[in-house]
Amino acid sequence: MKQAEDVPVIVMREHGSIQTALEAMKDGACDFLTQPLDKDHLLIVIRKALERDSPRRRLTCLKSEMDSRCASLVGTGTTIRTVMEAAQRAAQADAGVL
Amino acid sequence: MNARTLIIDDDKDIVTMLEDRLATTGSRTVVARDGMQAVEQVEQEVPNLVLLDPDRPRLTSLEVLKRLAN
Repeated sequence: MKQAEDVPVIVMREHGSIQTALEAMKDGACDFLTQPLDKDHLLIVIRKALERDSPRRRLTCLKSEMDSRCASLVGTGTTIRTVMEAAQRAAQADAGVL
Repeated sequence: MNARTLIIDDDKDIVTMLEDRLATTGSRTVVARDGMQAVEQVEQEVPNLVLLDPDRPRLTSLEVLKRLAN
């Protein structure tokens, strides 16, 4: 599954033991909750997990924007490729580009 | 860009509570009642977060977790 390995997973169980929590974490869970769920704790855990995934979302968004902008540029020659590579490098920097 | 959260659970009360909480974070929510539905949802669009109850029928959610990790 593409990109799915980076998705944070929170496991919720009705009866949590240290063993099951360890198993879930070993299998890739980023956090473990036992039921009944504490609503405030749940929100903290969700926010933390979404923050962890935030850079990936931003990157996906930027890539998509870059692809749509580059789609209007046509050409496969050396010059246009050099320009595209320079633009892609510049896009990653915070500095303004003239 | 809004986050997309996949809830894997078949308990309506739990799902409703999770949806309410997730709404406060601005996250879009999709629900899978079991592991097979979860795999289908992930194949359609990779979520930004997964909340799972490991004891669901048809492909346990721990199996889903393993599939996500590989």
